[in-house]
Amino acid sequence: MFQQKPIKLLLLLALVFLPFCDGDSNSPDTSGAWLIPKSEIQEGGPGKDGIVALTNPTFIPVSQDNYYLDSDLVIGVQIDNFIRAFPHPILDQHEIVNHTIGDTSFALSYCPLTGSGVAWDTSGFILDNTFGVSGLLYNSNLIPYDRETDSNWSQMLLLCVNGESIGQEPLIIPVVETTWKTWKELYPDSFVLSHETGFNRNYRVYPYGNYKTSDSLLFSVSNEDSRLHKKERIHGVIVGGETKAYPISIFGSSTKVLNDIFNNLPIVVAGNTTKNFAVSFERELDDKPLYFMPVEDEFPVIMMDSQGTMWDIFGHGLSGPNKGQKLKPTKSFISYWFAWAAFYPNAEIHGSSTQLSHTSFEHKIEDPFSRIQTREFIRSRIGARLLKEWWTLAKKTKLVPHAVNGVTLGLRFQEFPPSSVLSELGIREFDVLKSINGTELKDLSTLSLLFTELKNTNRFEVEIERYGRPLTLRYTLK
Amino acid sequence: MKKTILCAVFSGCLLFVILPSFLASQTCSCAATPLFNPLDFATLKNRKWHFELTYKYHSMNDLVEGSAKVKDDTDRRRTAQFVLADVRYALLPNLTIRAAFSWVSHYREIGISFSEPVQTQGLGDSLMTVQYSPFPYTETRKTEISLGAGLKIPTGENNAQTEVTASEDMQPGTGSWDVMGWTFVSQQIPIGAWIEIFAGLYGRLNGSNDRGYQFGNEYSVSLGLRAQAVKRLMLSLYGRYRWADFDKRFDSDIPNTGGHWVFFVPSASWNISENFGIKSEIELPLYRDLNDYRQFTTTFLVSVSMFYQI
Repeated sequence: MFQQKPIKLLLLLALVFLPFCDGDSNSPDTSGAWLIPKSEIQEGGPGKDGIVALTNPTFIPVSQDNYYLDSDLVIGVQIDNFIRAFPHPILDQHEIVNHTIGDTSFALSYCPLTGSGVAWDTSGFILDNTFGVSGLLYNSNLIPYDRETDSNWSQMLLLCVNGESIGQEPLIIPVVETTWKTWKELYPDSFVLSHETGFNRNYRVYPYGNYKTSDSLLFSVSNEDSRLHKKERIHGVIVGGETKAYPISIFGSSTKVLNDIFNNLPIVVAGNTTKNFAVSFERELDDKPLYFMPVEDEFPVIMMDSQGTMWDIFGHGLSGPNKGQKLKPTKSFISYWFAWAAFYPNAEIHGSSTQLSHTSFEHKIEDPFSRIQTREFIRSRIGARLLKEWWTLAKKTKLVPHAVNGVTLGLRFQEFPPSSVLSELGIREFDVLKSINGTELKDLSTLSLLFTELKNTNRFEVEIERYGRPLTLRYTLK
Repeated sequence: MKKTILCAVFSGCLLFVILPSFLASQTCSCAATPLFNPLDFATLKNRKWHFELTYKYHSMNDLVEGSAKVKDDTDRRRTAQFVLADVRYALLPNLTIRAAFSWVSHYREIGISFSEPVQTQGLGDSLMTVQYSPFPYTETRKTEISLGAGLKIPTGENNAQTEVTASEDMQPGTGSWDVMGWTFVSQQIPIGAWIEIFAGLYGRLNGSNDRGYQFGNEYSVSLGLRAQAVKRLMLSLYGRYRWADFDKRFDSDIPNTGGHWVFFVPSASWNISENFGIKSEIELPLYRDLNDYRQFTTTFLVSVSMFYQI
């Protein structure tokens, strides 16, 4: 293992705009490393396992339940022909349910603070395939931990952010989130998680007061976006690192289908505000695009394609020429808007004409949703700001080697002050600088050498990794 | 001599009434939060010094839903320990100033978890107070009234780390400046044996720390009886009703914090010599009605102190 030794500097860009002194670059170490800013991780209060995850709890036939209210939300999972519903009242107090159906084990997690529910396939774990509640939060969102490696995973980033499994992405099992009333109409013969969990809880009590509807948060987030109400429930879709939010409120009282193209990927988003659901799938089958229209009153069918195939809410072709086929679900889940905006700044909102305004002075972003961002700066002005902030940056910026499995991949911004010139330049805390103009950055000495080349150039390109995804920043200096 | 006794009585009464208010102030909600010091607000004899060292053990393992204690199925063990040192000095016969300092240790263990227990410790917050007694006991006056005010100074460690920055209730210090005020009334009862009844009213307004967290403002009313059992041994018994607002973060209420408590507190104080003594007390909850769904709260709080006066 490498020895991690944080190095203070303002580096990269100071390197370009101003002379700088070098630092030492000892071997990195990934033990204890986080892929999210550690300073923004918060303890929720109950402690690790203070919120008790359920493991293989009891399910009862939907028809036998008289505990849940029609307005309760549930998260549904279908594996083969087994269909299970996980009601929010249980998830509000346990947050994670570990369950096995056939050969498939999964952990269904729901964060009551961000309103986000996802299911991860845990069949790949050998000794212990269950997850627990770490008691930690990032952007107010649940951080589950796997009990096999004790690694911490960011639920909404869909990424292991700390521990032995760092950098791994979970295999997602698609879920359907809707009201209990709708679920009973969709799958009356399915099974629902029993409220008799073996734990002494009153599941009819919501533990967070008026949180669901209030405009306040219990924990701070790294990015706020007021385009929607904080607690507006949205269906967020991630395609190639870009994100788009579909507010459930846009669908109306009847099922609506959006044949959309997002980040060059044809997708279909189906939703119904009254029935409180939204799902999305890739809109291609055998490399041929499909077009959908909504279907009412034929649950679990919610849409029909242009070839006449009837599709259910999980994306199964139930009748027609594509019967037996399955649409590929998008990488998506429902959450409160504030949480989506915190994790995925600059997210597009479907139907919104209000795009984000960028307040920075000189730079222009050709396409804010692109993985390639082009920025223009006036050298003298950005240099002046660097000079002004030099001391703050020197004190509060920390750049450390970033290694995974013992291999150094770049230099990671461990810390830097908020609202600094670095933010202006498009750098975010925990970005990993991988290369400049194609030269890989594995230590500070490389950065030093690059300086001599860069200080006389007007254009350069920086490759970074943000939350495990590549991003290119192209700079032009005037 | 009589004045000395009265002074001691007064000090004791204040100690036993007011001090627990502080102790409970930031520990009884859903979990213990940093607390600084036991504080008694005794008015000392003119130009007298009072030194006191206290150890406290606070067990917070009762899980309460509304006013009902419920079973904790996480087998949680949450305790806090405090070492408190305070110094008092009587500037004038009816004016006492004091400074109090603390060291705090928090412990949290989730029994059903395989994870290691979490412990934080460090310097706690400090307190500066002044107390004025406009109507002290005299040869003829058997009633005493005093007023006090104080400032809690965030000298404590407020950035203690567990895996990450520990939650507010696990920090040794609150990180906030708080102000407090109180009034205290006592009345001697002329029935042969030395007996006194007393009552206290206390309020505390808490500031926010740099993470935007504010512990709920709190208030308490106490009523008790104090008697000399044998020479140099004083026994007291009092009840205290305390209520606290919700904690807040960025001005938003934190669910499952604050509520109403009634405590029953027996205590004893023994003056071993003219200048040196020890005392002990235990605080037991009689009734709780806590906000929202569930909170972990005080199971008991015990303390032992030794004091020295010159």
